[in-house]
Amino acid sequence: MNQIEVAHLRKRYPAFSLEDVQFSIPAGYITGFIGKNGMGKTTTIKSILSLIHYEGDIRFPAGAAPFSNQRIGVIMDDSFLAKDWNMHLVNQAMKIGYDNWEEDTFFRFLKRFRIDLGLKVKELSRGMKIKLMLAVALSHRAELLILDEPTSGLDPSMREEFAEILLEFMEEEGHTVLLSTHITQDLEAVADYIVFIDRGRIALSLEKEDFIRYFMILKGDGDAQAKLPADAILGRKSGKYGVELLVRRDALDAVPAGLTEDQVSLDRILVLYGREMA
Amino acid sequence: MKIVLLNGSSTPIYEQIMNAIKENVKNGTLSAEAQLPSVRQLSRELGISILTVKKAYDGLEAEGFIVVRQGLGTFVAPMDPNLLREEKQKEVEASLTHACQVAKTIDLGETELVALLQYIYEGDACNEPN
Amino acid sequence: MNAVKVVKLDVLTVRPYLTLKNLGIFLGLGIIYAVICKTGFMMLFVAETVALLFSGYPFMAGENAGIDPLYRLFGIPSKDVVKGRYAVGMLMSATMLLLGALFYWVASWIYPQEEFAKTLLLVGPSLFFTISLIIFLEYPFYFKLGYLKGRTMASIPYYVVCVAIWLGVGRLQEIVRFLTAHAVWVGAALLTLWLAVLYGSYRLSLRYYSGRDF
Repeated sequence: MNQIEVAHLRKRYPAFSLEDVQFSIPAGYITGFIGKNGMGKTTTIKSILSLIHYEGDIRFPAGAAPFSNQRIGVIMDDSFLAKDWNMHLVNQAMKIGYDNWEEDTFFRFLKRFRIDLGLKVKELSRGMKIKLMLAVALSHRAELLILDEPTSGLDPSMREEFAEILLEFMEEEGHTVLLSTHITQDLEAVADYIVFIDRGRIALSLEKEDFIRYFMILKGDGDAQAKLPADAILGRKSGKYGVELLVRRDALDAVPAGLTEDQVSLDRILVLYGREMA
Repeated sequence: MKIVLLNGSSTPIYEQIMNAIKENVKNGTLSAEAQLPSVRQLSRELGISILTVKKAYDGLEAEGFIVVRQGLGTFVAPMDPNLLREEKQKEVEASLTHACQVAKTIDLGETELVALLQYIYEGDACNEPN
Repeated sequence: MNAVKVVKLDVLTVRPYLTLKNLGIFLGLGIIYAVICKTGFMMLFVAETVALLFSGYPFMAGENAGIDPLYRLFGIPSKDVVKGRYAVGMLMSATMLLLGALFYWVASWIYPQEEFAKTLLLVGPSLFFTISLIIFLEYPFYFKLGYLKGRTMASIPYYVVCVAIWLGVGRLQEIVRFLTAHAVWVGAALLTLWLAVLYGSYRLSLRYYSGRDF
């Protein structure tokens, strides 16, 4: 069962477009939505949340019908909370806005995150603001979390805590997370599926381990790449003393002489994909 | 139950989980019929993805180490003595294979090796409980 | 139901701006006017001017706070946001008028007023009518452009009405005579005008607002 199904999503901007974006988010799992900045992650997420108008079809087959944003917990770059609100006012606003608002849960999270109730939204640091939004997202019985770049600006220990809270949320059967990020270390451990967007198109969408296995990183002599089928190379980084290649694993039978296989990580995939490919 | 996962290890995480649970069964930390945490609970505890834990549980189930009872949860399978013995035997084989490989690198002959084994088998180190 | 959410949330967003300092300025202005003119009458005008000013605040505060995306995240349809916003505008206008009337009443103890009730009943509704008309003319600009960009355009209706009043002041006697002679017809015509402007304004606002991306 899919929590979200996106089909033929198209959105045109003067400088950038989403073209025929298509993918699904399975219910009950954490899906990482990766891509470099400016590749269409936020636009796709805004479409899913109906914050912008789009062409195409977005459905929520697994959710309660009719599905509404009330069922989604959201973290986005802008906080959506009035800068002059203190925590009590945030609580009041959410109580008005969300039908299933749970005040006690919200205050418990604030306490856990050590956010003083008298503080105004504008007085919070970036990290605190993220935690506040996380507290809001987790306090209205959402079945789906959509988190857009939640961990940028968080230090490593906060990112770890963030991952812990996600898995805590996932303990409930039928809970789903869509997490967009360009900091891929966050996903290596906790993500079940990966959707990879590049220049407004979905480049690849697979179970995480299959996703990583889809690629191969080869390093070595720059001349040796001539021995590879041209369509196998997905990106390269050439240096004075050698080359690093991102390659489709199924496109070659053996590693050619002069090249050595290195370990693949989501991070290297993001860095190398499409590089020097013109 | 104790599970230690090493990120730097070449063994995949799901396999590390399988080995750890097997180890817990073998050394008696987990007795037969003991209930295991749910996939989601374990995923949270270990800080790793649900599918990884699921894969480990599926593997353990296929090998007969655990059973899933619909609606009740996951349990350590009633211990088949043969299964345990088989597992242990695999370990012995692995250790001996390793020993043989090392022996060959220094041209240690079969007779010498067998003699060595006999000596160790009867020695104190082997007969002390570990 | 959703429109009620919008009213409540709009009020919550504007609340940080409703400070004691602003209330003080409002009262101070009223007292100065009252002492100079020896009547609290002007306070009705001051109050409604403040209401007019405040009617743009949900847009301003909302824009600062990102309240529009928040409404979408709450799953509130655009039409309910627009409805709620109009209700807030009317609510502000009515509340301020009441405050002004209260001040006027208190001031009338110090500066006794002939025909106090009659003046209040005539001027109050006329002011409410005028101010709400201006609000109706303003709101589509705000809904289309947002507060910052819409502000300049939205002030046009205000000046148009000001000029109309200024032109009318010279012929006040004539106008009052005409109005009192045809009170019922004029009342009906004005009410129709009010409703027509409200409807047109609402449709326009809705069209603009639901087309926006956040």
